[in-house]
Amino acid sequence: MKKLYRNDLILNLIIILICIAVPITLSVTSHDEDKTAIISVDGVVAREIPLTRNEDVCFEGVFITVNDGKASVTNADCPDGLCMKMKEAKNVGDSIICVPNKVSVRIVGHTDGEGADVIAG
Amino acid sequence: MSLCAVFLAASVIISFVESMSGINGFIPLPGVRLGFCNIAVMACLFLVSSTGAFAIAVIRPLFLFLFSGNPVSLAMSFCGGMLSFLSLVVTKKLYGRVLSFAGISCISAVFHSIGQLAAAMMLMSDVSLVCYLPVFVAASSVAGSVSGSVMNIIMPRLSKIQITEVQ
Repeated sequence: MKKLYRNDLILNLIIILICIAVPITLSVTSHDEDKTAIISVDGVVAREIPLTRNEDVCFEGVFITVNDGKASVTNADCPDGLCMKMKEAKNVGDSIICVPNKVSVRIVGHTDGEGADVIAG
Repeated sequence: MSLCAVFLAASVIISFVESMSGINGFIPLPGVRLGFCNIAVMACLFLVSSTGAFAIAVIRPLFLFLFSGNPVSLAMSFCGGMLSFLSLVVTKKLYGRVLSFAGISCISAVFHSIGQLAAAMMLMSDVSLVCYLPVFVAASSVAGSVSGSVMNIIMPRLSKIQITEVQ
């Protein structure tokens, strides 16, 4: 019986390890060229910039720089300047939001294809 | 047959108490529970018959639907229950040779959460729910092992009772 309990424990640990390893490997192997910075103004998508490109844009007084696979707000005319202090966005799901100017930068993965209408199975 | 009914009653009570315990307040999806009701399904499978266990797996979500009235929860419970029942039947042969009840319960719990999440994905037609899968699978494997360890403790006693009852 002792041996069986040990097997149970090993099985459990393997499952947990897989659960930890798979998301990590997926996030490591996801390529930069798949990532796109989506800039929205007042909830409407204003611009999509692939992170591989180097580009500076300005919306509503917010200067957004996409450089070296990262997007960041370099200058903004908002009173608090919080968006300039926010961490630069480089991973899928990262976002920078400037509330006073209603400008947001969001990093998404694949943008080609049908997007939200894909149904599994 | 009556034993199956007893196990069904036990499983309904266990899952009802679980749904009241507030554990699903932490997770933004309906139908997420610790899954101790699986104990009753497994006990029925090992002590009585697979048909009885199948009946429990089918009827329990319906009873819970009467309590909660949440069709999403019903569908998720149903899909998870079917998958976990199938995995129980397949892994039943491993018992005593490779795994104890804890391991078998762990596997079935993992399949239960996969089934639930698949149902949720189909209902909400939102593929991004798959991001929850690793979290769910890890959590359910731990919860399944815990309920399987409970099985390890109660099964020797339950099987004793059953022998006297049959005679």
